[in-house]
Amino acid sequence: MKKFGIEKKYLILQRFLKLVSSIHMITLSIIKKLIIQKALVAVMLFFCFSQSFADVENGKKLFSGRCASCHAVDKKVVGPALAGIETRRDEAWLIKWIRNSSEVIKSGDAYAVKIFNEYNKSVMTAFPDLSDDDIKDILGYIKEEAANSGKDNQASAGGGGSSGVSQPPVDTDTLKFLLFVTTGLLLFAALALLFAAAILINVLRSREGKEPYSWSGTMKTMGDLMKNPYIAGSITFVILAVGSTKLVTHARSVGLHQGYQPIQPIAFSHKLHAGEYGIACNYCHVGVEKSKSATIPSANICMNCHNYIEKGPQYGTKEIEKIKKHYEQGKPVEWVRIHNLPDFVYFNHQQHVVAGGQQCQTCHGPIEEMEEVYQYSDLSMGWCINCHRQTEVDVNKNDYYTTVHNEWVEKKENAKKEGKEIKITVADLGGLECAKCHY
Amino acid sequence: MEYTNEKQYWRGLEELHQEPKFVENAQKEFERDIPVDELLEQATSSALTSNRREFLKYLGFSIGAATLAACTSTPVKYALPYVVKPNEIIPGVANYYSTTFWDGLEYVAVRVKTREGRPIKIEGNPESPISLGGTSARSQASVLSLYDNNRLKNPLKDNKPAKWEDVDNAIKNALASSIGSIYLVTASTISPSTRNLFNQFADKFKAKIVTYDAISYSGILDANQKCFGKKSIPNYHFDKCEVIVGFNADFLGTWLSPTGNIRKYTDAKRLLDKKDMMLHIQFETNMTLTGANADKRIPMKPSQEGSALLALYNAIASQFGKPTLNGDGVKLAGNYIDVVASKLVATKGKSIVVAGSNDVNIQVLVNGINAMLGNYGSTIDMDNSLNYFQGIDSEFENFIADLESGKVKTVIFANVNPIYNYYNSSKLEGLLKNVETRVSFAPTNDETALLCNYVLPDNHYLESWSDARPSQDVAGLQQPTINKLFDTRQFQDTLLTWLEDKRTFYQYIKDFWKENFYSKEKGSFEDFWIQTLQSGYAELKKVESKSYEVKGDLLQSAASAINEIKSSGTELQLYVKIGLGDGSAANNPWLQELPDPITKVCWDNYVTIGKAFADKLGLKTDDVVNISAGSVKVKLPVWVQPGQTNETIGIALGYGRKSAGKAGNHVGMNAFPLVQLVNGTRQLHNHVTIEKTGEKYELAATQTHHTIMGRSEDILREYSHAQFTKLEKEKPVEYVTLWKNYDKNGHYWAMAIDLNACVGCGSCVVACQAENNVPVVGKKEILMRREMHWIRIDRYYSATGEGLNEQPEENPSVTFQPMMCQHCDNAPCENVCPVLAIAHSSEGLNQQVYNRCVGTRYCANNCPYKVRRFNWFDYTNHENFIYNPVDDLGRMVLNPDVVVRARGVMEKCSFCVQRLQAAKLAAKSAGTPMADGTATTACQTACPANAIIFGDLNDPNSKIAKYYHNERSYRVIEAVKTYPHISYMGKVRHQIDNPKV
Repeated sequence: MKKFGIEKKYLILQRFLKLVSSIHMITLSIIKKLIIQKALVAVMLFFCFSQSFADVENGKKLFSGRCASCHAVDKKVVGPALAGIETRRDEAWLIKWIRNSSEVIKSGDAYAVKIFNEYNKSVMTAFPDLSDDDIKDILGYIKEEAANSGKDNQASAGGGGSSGVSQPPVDTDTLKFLLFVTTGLLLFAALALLFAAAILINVLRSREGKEPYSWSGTMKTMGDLMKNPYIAGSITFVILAVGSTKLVTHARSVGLHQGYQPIQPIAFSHKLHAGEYGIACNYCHVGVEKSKSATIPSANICMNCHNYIEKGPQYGTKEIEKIKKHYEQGKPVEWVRIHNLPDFVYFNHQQHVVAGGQQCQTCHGPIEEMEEVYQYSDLSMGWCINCHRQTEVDVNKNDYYTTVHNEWVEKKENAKKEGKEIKITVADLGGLECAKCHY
Repeated sequence: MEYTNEKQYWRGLEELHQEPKFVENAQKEFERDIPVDELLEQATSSALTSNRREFLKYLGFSIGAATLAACTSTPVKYALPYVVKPNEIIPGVANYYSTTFWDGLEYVAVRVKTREGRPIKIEGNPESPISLGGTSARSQASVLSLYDNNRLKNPLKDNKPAKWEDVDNAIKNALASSIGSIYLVTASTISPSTRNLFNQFADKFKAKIVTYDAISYSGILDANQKCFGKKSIPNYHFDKCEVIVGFNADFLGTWLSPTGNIRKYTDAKRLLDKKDMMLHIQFETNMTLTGANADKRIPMKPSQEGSALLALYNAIASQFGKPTLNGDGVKLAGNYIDVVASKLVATKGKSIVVAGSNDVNIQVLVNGINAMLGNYGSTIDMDNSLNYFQGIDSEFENFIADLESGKVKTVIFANVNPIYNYYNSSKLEGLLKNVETRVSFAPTNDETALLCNYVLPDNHYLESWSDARPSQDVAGLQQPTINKLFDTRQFQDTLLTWLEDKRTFYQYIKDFWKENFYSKEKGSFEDFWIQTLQSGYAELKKVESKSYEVKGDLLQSAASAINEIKSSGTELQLYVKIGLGDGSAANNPWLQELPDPITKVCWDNYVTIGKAFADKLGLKTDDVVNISAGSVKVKLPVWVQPGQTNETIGIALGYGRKSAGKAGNHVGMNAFPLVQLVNGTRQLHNHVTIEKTGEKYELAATQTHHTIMGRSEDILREYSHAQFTKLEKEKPVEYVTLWKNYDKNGHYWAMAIDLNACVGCGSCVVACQAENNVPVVGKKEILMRREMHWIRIDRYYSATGEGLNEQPEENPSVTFQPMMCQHCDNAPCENVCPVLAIAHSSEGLNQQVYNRCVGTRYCANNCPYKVRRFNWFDYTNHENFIYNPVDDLGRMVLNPDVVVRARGVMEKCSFCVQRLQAAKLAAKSAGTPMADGTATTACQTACPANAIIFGDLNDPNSKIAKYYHNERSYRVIEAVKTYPHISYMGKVRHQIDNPKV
C-alpha cells in the first residue's frame, strides 16, 4: 500500500515537472521577445542615423527653435516651403542668406531681391550666431524631412499601409505587469521543484530500503527552536523593526504625492517640446525668472507657434485643435495642477532660478523626457532642507552677498590663505530658518 | 543721566483708581481660565462618569475615526492660465497704480498695489505735494469696501433690478419733461472735470446744482468770501510754523487735510537733526487727537470759542498798538490767552491760528488774527488754496425751501446721503415723497437711495476714471485699478449718457485736461498724460502767495455777533471719528474695529463726559443716558473721558446707520439730528439736557487689555524741551544673557519709533491689517479681550498734579506709543514654546511658525509686551464672524503672500517678513547691494508722520543706523533684559509757564 503510494506520487510528479518546464519556456520566450523588440528598435535607429552625414538631430533642434515659426518643409507658411532648397541655390549662398539675408539683398543679388519682393518685403531674422556646420545640419534635416514626407505621401497615395518608421513606444506599465507575472511563475516553479525534490529523496530512500524521512519531524524541531527565547525575541524584533520603519515611512508620505501624474485636458508632451525641439523652459513659463510662480503658459504663447504648426507628430491635429478652440473661444485651459504646496509654504521660483541659479530639473526631474508630466520630487520639507544643506552659494559672484554677507567672504579668503576650501551652503546663510518659507 | 520721571502714567480711569476688575485682569493674559474644576465637579455630580473600559472604547473609536478621516483623497487642484496674458501682468508680481482717494472728507494721493489684477493694498504716493506720501486709516481701509458684498450689483427701479437701457430712457424722458425744475444734489467734488460736467448738465436741463457736505465747512468759505472775496479754503503750512494755536480744530484727526497736516506738523516738531521745535497750544472741548498732541491743552466750552478768540484778538492788537474790538471775551484758564498772545506776537509771521467752528463770525475773527500776525503769504497760502469743500449751507436750505414750495420735479443725489446726515432728515423725508422723479447714484442702497425710485449704482473709486484738483497748484488723476465687479456705472458716464454725449468719461477727462492743464512746453499731450497717470499728479502754475488784510468794520460786526453768544446749561460738541468719518464707510469692518485714538473704544459711539461732571450727575462709564435737544432725543451709553471740558459732552457722528450693510447697521446711534443751524450754517454744537435711564450698555474698549502686567516703569519716556536740550546719549545697555549670543552678521532688522512724531492716528493699524490678513473679530470678542491687531497704539494719560491738574483726570496730558512685537534678542516667548514654533532668525527676527504652533499660549503669557494674538476661532470661515472676507468676493482682498492663519494658533507682528524677503530677492536677482529704504514694513509706509524708521542696522549708511541710538532712545522695560529690536525715542513737550495761575 505504502509502496504503491510512492509510485503513484512519482507519476504525478512526472506530469507536474512537465508543466513546470513549459511555464519556464513561456516565461523565457516572453523575455526573449522583449529583448529582441528593443534590439530591433536600436538597430533601426542606428540605421536611421547612419543614413546621412549631417547631424540631422542637431538640425532638427535648430530648425524647430529658429525656423519653424516661419517655415515648414512642405508648405508655404510665412516664408517659402523649404523642400528642395538645396537644388534651388548652392550651399555657400544658402549659408550667407540664412546668416543674414538683408546683407545678401543689399549686395544686389538678383535672386535674393526677387524672393524679398515676392514675400512682401518681410525681412527674415538674422542668425549671426549659427556656425556653418549648424546651417549645414539644418539643410541636412530639411533634405531628410523632405524625403520622408515624400515617402509618406507616396505610401498614403498607394492606399494605406503603415509608414514603417514610427515605432510604438514600449509601455512601461505592461512591462511591469509582465515582470510581475514572470517572477510569480518562477517562484511557483521553485517551490514546486523543492516539493518534488523532497518526494524524490523519499522515493530513492524507499528503493534503497531505508526509512523515509519524516518531514513533520523537521517541522517539530523548527517549533522547538521557536521556543528558544533568544530566537523568538530576535524574530519579533526584526518583525517589529521592519514594521515600524514601514509605518513611519508610510505615515511620513501622507500628503506627499511623489509620482502624481494626472491626465491633462490636452496631451501636451514635454518630451516633444522641451526634449526633442529643445524649446527653452522660460519661453513658455515666462514667470520663472521674474515671479514666485513659473506660470502655466497662456494660450497666446502656444499660438505663437501653433498658428503655423497645425499638425503634431503623435496626435496629428487632434490635440492642437483643442488649444486653438480654447484660444478662439477665450476659455482658459483647465490644466490639472501637479505641484501643490500647502498654503503655509511660500515658494519662489525667481529665488531659486535667478538668485540660486538652479536648473529646473533639480526639482522637476527629467522633464524633457516626460511624455506627460509627473511630480518628480516628493516636495516634503525634509527634501527642501536637505537641498538647502547641500547647495553651495558662491558669495563672491553676487554683490548682494559680498556686501551683506561679507563675513563669509572674509572667512573664505582666510581659509584660502591657509590652503583650505570652505563650502558655504544655503543653510549657512540662514536657509534653514522658519520664516524663509513660512509666513 | 539716569532717566527719572515723577509723572504717573495710566491708560484709563479703571487703572488710575485701581478698580478691582482691572487689577484682576492685569495679571492675566486671557479673559478666562479653562474651567477645569467646574468640569470635574459636573462630571462627578452628573452621570458623566466613565470607567477604564469606556475610556478604551472611546480611544479605539477615535483612533479608528481619525484613521478613516485621514483616508480622504486629496482634492484635485486646477491651474487656469490666461487665454491672452496682458503684457503688464506677471502672475505673482504686484503692479502699482497711482490714483486718488477722496471720500468727501479727505484727499489722499495713493498708489494701489494690485496682484493678478486685484487691488489688495493702498500705499501712499510719496511724490504727492498734498498728502506727502502718508495715508489715513480710511484710505487704507478703502480697498476692503471695493469687495463689499452689500454693494448694489445692478441698477434698481422702484427697488427692483432693472436694465441700464430702460432706466436711462425713463430718466431721459423725466428730465425732458421737468426742465427748469431739476436739482442735482452733490457732495463737494474735487474733480474739475466732474464739476465741468455738472455745469454742462445744469446748462442743458436748466438744473440747479446744490452742493451739500455732511460735515460743513461753509463758515470758512463764507468768511473768506467776506474778508478776501475768495470762496476757498487756504492751504495751511504747519511746517513753516513756530507757534500753532488751535480752537476746536482737530487738524491732525479729521479737520481739512489731516494726512498732509500730520506730515507738516510733525516736520515742525521733528527733533532728529535739530534741537528746536514748534510750540502747539490747543483750546478744545472734547479730548481730540490734536489736543492730545499739543504741548498745552486747555479745556474750553463750545460757546467760549468765539469770545476766547475775541480776547486773543484784543490781546494781540493791544501789543501791536492796533485798535481793539468791542467786548472783553474770556481769558480762559487764568489768562492763558495772554500767554498765547505774547507767544504769537513774538513769532509774527511764523504762526497759524485755526478754529474748527462753522460760524462765519468766528472764522472772520480768525482771519483777522492771522492777517494781523502777517501769516498770510508766509504760513497760510490763500492764493494756492485747497479745493476740498464747496458746500454752502444756505444752498441746501434753499433747496429745502424749494421742495416745500413744490418747485422740485426731479432730484438727483450724487455721493450724498442727506436722509442719514441732514439734521432735519424727517422733514426732508416727508418733502421728498412729493418729488416725481428721485434718482440716486449711491453705490449701496443707503438711507437716501431707499427713498428714490431709481438707484443707479456708482462704481467704487478703484473702478473709476476721474481727476482731482486738491489745490489750485496741483491736479491729480484717478484711474481704475480693476475692471468693474458688478453691473454698475460711474455716475459721470451716466450723466454723459443723459447729455447724449457719446464720449466716455475717460475721454471727457482727457479732453478737459488737454484744454485746461496741458501746455505745449510739456511735450506731446500723450506723453504728458501718461506721465501724469504714472506719477498720479501734475503740478500746475503756482501763484505767488500774497498777504491779506481784513477790514476793521467786518471784524467789529463779527465781534458784536460773537458777544451775543451765550453759554447755558450742558453744551454738546459733536465730532467726527478718524475711523468712520461721516459714516459713509460704516460698512467697513476694518474701520469699525479700529479703536478710537483717544477712548480706544471700537464698534460704538457714546457720550464722552468729564469725571467731575459725571460724578455730579451720578454717571459712570456704560450707564445709558438720553440726550435731548429740543424735540430730538438720542439714547447712548456714557464714557467718562479724562480731559473733557466740565459741563460739556461730546458725541461722535457717523454711527447709527440703518442701511449701511451687515457690519455697519445699528452700530451706535445717529447723532446728526443734534446738529443745529445757527446764522445760516450747520454747526456741530448744541445745548442739551442729560437724563439717566438706569440701563447699562457695555462698551468695547481695548486700552486696558494687554497691560504689561503692572510693569509701569520705563515704558514711556517724556521730556520737557529744556530737559531735552541737555540730554546726552546713554551708553548702550550691556548684553547679559544665559543663552547663547546671536551672531549679528548679515542683515539685522531694526526699527526706531519717534514718539515725538507719532500722533496716534491709527493708519498703521489698518495698514497692518490689510498687509497681513489680520481678521476682524467683532465687538463680542473684543469685550473678551480677543482683538487680533498685530500693532496697537497705546494711549497713556499722565498728570503731574501741578497747576490746573489738581485732579489727574481733569486734564491729563496724553502720549501715544505704537506697540507691536519687539523682536527681542532675548525673547521670553521663544524659551517657553514646547514645540519650537517660535524661532530666532539670523536676521534678528522673532519668527512665529503657524504650521508648527499647537496653541499652548505659553508664549503669550510670557511676553512682557503683550503683543501676541491667539486665534480663538476660525475667523475667516466661521459664519458668526460675518465681518471677515468669508465669501469669494471678500477673499479677493487677501494678500496672497501671507497665509491666513488657522484656528488655535498664535500670531503676531512679523516685521512684514514677506516684504523683507521680496526686497532681498530683488537685490539678489539684480546682483546689487541692498539699498537702504527698499525693505519697508506696512506700518512704516502708511505712517503720515514718518514716525517709524526701519532698516538694516548692519548697514552703516542706513537711516536706522543713524537714528537707532540717539539721545532720546530707549527700549521699553529695558530692565527685563529682553533686548528688543525696536528702540523708541522719547516724547518732548514745551513747558508753558503761566505766572498768573
